[in-house]
Amino acid sequence: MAGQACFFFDVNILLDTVFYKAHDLAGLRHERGVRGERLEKLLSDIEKYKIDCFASSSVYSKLSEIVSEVNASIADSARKLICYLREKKKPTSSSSNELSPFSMKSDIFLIEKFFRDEFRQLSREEEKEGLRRVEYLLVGHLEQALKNHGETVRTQEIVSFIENLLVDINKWSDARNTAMLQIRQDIQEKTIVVDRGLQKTIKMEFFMSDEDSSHVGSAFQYQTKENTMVIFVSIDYKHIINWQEEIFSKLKLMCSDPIYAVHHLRHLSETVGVPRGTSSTR
Amino acid sequence: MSFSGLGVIPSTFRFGLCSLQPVEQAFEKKVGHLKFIMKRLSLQPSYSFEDYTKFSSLAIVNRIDHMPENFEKEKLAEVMTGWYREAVERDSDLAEAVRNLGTGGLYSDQGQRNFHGFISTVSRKYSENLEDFIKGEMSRFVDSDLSFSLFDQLCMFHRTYARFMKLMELQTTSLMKQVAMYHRERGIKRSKPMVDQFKNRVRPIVDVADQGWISSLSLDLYLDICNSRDYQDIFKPKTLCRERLDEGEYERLFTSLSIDLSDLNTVLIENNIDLVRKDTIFKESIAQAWYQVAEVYLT
Repeated sequence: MAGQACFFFDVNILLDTVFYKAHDLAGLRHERGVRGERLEKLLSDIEKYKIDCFASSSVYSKLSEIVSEVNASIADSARKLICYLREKKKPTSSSSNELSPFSMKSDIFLIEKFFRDEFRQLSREEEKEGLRRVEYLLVGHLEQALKNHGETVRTQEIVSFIENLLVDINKWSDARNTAMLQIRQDIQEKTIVVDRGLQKTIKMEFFMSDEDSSHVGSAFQYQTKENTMVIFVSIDYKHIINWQEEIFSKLKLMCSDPIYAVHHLRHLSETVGVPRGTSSTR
Repeated sequence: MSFSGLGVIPSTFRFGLCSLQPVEQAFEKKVGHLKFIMKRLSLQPSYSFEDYTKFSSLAIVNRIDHMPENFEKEKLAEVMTGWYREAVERDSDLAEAVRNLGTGGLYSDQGQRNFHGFISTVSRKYSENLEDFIKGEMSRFVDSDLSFSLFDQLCMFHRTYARFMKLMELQTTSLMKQVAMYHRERGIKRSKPMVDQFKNRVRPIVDVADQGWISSLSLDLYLDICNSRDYQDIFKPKTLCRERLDEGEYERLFTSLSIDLSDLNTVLIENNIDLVRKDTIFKESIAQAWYQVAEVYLT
């Protein structure tokens, strides 16, 4: 084996790492859960065995895209909700600019109606699920902000609370952005243009999306070009890990869950020579 | 709106920090009945504040390639310079700090106090105004049809810039002390290299910060002028509409800010990660909720 064996990260691993590092940066302990524990083990293995880690440009770019989409889905919903409340609570008298007060008992259903109308415009299940989570975030934030208020609140205050949520989102963006810059030093971005024929083969053989085939294809091309052993680390069982054997048999690229990644790397480094091209690229 | 007191501060900061030149001053000291002519080292700005504001305004205006038809670069730079001047004059603390900076030398007790006062005033004001400023930016987003990423980036930049100022405050304090000690021990000739070292160390950081500051303000100015009828309309609160922007120019200025923000952040991480850590605050519940939405987009 010529090159140093290494890990290539999938988008989900990179996102979890950003989340973990941002908490670490702020001195917070993130809620562990199974995903958090898997990531902690991975990071600890990487440090222990001094494993080089990379992510392809397609993975980094997908992560940026997700970050923008998530921010936009939260912020756009917040903006639309404010416009909706302003419209529903517009001043009744022409002599005042003050919006009608927001009743804690009945006007919460305005928010319910707003989200119901928003759902109706969506067709994709993922979009609906995304909006459900945004709704939960917004309503939870408002309940928290309003818990010590009386039965009515100035609608402008409700608007202000929603804007405060955006300020909090920006604080999180700031932390996440700083964490991302630190991560870029440890997990170097590899700009790899995936061969179209290879990508097509991966898509057809393993029923992968354009994006997944590009991420896996990048790792494979790096393995071949650098004559090294690459482990593609992911927690996407449905599209990647469940196809582990088939992918390895065809490409000699190992795809692994974080908890087994280091074991695969050590095992393969000892037992398998580095593959130089396969039938799929010919 | 973005062109609040926050916008003006970096210009004064740069003026105070980077134009410093070591200047030897003679002064009279009485010891008993005898008068001695003593010498001491001062670090003084080499240009006037007015020069700096003109320079800054021009740099910001010149970043904009695609000017709306009803505005000219030179006139716009003049308007900005006048606005800077007024903004400093309106803020009595800042105005005093700038005035004092122009007169005091760092080796006089008063001069040293003035300089530190200036740096900490600027840094404090920036931090104090930051949260209100960001809230104002979120209101601008809500009232506009522009993307959240624009306001998110602008606010992230100002958060990062506040950190930069704190870093400068720390560095200046420590380096100024070193310069003072060195000069007392070795005299003017030997302390000059120390001053040069200080400037060399600080300058690259300030350069990166300046780039970001210019990018941030040029983008903000572009949004403002595209949504203004005339020069009088600039800097006034307004609703921002995307259709009034040239898409290509907007994207260019936005990309430039993103790059400069990353550069500044990287410099800060390299220079003082503890400061960055201390200043990184967010609500865990928001991060968790954000992550849950992100999980959906991952699939």
